[in-house]
Amino acid sequence: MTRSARLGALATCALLLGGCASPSRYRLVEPGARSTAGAYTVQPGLAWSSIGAGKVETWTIDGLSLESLRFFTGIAEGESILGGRAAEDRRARFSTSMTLPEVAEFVADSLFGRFPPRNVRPARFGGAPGFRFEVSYTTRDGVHREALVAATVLQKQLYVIAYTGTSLHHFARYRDEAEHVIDSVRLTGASARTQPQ
Amino acid sequence: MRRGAGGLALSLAATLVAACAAPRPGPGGVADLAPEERPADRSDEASLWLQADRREEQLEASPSVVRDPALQAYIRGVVCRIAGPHCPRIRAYVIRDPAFNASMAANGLMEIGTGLLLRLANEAQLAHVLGHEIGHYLRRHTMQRWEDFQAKAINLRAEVGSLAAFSRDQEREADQLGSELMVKSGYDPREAPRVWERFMAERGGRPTVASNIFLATHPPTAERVAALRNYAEKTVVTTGEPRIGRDDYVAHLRPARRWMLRDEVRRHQFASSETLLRFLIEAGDSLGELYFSEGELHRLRGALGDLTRSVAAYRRALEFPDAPPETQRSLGLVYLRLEDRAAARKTLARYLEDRPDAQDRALIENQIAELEAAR
Repeated sequence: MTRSARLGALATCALLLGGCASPSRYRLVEPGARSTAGAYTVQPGLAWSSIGAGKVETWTIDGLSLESLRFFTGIAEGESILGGRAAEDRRARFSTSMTLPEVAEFVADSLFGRFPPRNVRPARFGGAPGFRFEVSYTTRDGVHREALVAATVLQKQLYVIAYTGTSLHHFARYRDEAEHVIDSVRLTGASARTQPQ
Repeated sequence: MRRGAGGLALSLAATLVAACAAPRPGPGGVADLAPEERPADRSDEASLWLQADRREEQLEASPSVVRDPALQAYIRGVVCRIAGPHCPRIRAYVIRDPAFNASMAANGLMEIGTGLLLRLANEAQLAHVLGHEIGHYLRRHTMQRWEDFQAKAINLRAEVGSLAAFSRDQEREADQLGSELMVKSGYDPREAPRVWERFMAERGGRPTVASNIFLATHPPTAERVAALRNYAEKTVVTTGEPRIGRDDYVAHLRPARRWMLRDEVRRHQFASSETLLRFLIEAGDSLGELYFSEGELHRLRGALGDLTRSVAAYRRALEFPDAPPETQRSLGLVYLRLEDRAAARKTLARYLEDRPDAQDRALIENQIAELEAAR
């Protein structure tokens, strides 16, 4: 590969993966069962690239700026979903005393700010009571995106799966796969023992 | 600028007409911008304009710009009333930002945050803030700041963001010019210090958030307020009754008020929002929305006693016809948290009646069904 070809490949990689200065940070997620933070498993039907771990893990196929599936796990009392740029004292924080509609409101506010959720509905999350909703939003640079969000509270901790993608093409391209991943959630360990199946 | 009281307004007006008609040197020795003047090609100032042009291009696509034609036309009208012959060069963008924020770039690009608009009581106060920003533009403060940096050999790459923050003297000068432009346009200059007095009361001595360029480096001080008050006391407006324009201002802001209040409460700056809401409630407009917002503040903060206070605020909101249907939703959810199940069921059902297109209908219906099942 010529130098210019390598640079081109790197530039493409950077474009697709949203600045993958270190491509090795990504791990391959093969189709099949996969555990998430010890609380549940999912069964992706496609191969995804994964980055991050702990409380936030992000998967993508074509690149983070095009579509992503994010897993926020184990948000406890007093914690925020996103650190972001907001000062420490200006973040919305999860509380176990929230009612389920308030949890949905908290998730939508935290992830999408002023863009309102649509069709906020009850939906089981691996057998546990939870909810789903959709949002259309616009990024700072004017790109229109869509989101599908599923969440639940397990053992006083919040779990969220958020699939987002560009309104033009990418959201629709992997929506069925994202819904398949969400529908495939199976609670494990203590979470499974405390939920009615 | 120190002048006696007698005949001040006329001489002031004459000075300003002159200022608008032809360039004059400002205190820094730099001539004010003339209407239609553009910086020389390839000059430093042209480069600053270019940067601001790029910012303006980004704003064209930004979801943060409020694209409400009626509100834009109103702001534009006040800008033109104050800026006179400079009006075509001042492009005012209303930015959806709940912070108390405004900025002026070298090329006449002005950004006004919705949090600032929410905090102003009338058109005269708006005129003061716009006049202050226009003062920065006329006096070429961004260019002066750039030259200061160069003279002091400051690392420009590191400091370029600070160009948006003006020096203490420049802020004083812009205050003065803002008040002068207000008077020239027939506004009551006594409203100028009230903008800052109210903001200082809201802050209650807490430090200003550092990310707010408008306030961070040169926050409103007692000295600035005193200078504005002193100027207002010595100034006589000669063009009839000085304009305050409360009704016009409130009417033009009303359609945006509900989402501005929502943004305000969701800043999670609960202490300052509480003071702001107290001011707005005292002013007495849209009380249903305001008490609802007060209820939301307590519900979202959720500290000791907040839930009880939110119930009181929501119930008060429902006494007014402009209480949003979401008042019933929030009240019902707070009843649920307080384990008053009967009241929760009844209030949530009322919300669904009042808001048939509620986007969370299915979730609320599910909540009601659970309450029914537990009876």
